[in-house]
Amino acid sequence: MKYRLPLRDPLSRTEKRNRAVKWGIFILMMLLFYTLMRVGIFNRWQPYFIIPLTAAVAMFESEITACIFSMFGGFMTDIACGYLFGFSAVWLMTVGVLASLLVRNLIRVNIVNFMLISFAAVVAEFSMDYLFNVFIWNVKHSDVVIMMTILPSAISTVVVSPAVYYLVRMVERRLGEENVNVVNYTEPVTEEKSEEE
Amino acid sequence: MKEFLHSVKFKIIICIFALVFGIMIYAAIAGDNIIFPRSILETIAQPFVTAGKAVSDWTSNTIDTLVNAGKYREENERLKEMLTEMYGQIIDKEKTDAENEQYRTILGIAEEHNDYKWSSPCSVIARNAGDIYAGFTIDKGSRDGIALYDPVFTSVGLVGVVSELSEHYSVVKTILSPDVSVGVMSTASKTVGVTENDAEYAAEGLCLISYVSKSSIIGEGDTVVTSGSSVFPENMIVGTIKRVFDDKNGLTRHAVLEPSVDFYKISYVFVVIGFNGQEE
Repeated sequence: MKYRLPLRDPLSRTEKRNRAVKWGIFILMMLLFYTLMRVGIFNRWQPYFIIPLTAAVAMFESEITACIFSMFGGFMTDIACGYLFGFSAVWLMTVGVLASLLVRNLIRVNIVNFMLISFAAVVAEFSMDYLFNVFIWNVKHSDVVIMMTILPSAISTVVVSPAVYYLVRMVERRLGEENVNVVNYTEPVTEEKSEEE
Repeated sequence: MKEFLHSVKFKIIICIFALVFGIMIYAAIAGDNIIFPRSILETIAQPFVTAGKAVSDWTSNTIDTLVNAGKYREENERLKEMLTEMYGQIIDKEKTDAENEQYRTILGIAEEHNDYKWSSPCSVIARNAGDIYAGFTIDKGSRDGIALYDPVFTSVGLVGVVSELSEHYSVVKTILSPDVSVGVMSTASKTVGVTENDAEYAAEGLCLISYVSKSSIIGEGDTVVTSGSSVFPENMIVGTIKRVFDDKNGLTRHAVLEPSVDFYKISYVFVVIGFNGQEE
């Protein structure tokens, strides 16, 4: 019983093209969501679109890919919100890696599980925002900050999450490889080899 | 799971986490200076934000025109009537003339101070998401002569200070932020105080002035200007007094200031990049 990276067949030209297009779309989505966070059209009900995006992508991708994509998502969130650079990246990376691991070992990719993961990501992000940017600085009238910005943004982020999930799922179904929920870490690779022999 | 914890993948992920922690600590040490990785990401994303802002402004203006055309026509008629009435009042009342004279004097201050060096007009290119203190980013940076903590104005008054600086853009903290303290003075009674805001007042777009002398004669409607310091030049309009109340300790008073600038609607600002007495 040994954990090993699953060996893959070399990708065909179509698969390579699909993969490039898929990541191009994901990067464009991240830039678009970052733009939506920076133009200020939602005022205090500003959804943090990047959070559900990283959660959704993490559910469809491997742990390392999820980790890297969540890292960039976190960096973009930090810039958009004026947080310390890397602050959100740490929390989103944690949620991204856990989401990817859960999908590969325990749960299936569906809207209910996605909403649970997205909700966990929102809670992690906004509670850490409150803890490190408001609470420990003893900001006066912190209840106003919660009621006027943190809570409305958290609620609106959860509300827009399903739309982001369906967008990511559409891209993954058309361009992604069908590898979700098929990798088994406890697969006895050596034993299989000996059986084949 | 145990196998995963001993895998190469897990080690790679730990390395990435360590890298991000390192970047975060580096950013914390760098303080107000924008670090290189952030600068790269912002530079890549900036064209999208600029285009998005243009689309957003155009869409909101178009929708606003279409939806509120009738309302604007009615408002226009009503304002015309009000304007006619106001003209009559201006002619009749000497007091109004005196006040107008005062305003003209204050507005002329900028022309009188030849030592002020102004930046070219700076466009507001992005707003900080979820910022109760209305912070924003402008399209001019150190390359345009702007330095950290330079004061930022519009034609109607003080906006705030440059709080973060890059070569091509700057982040501005408004006077709504508790981090920005401005020495202010009432033009009528020369009463001085210091802005010391909190989230409760910022949420209403107001600013709290503290350390106002108990014996001061300051009241609703008084115009407030900067008293002058090494950061802010003197006699620049900040806003008007909305109400005054005594401090809990009974030794001083507080005044609630309504800034002359609507921070959520400004599109262009000016930065004073130099004046006599500015901190080097």
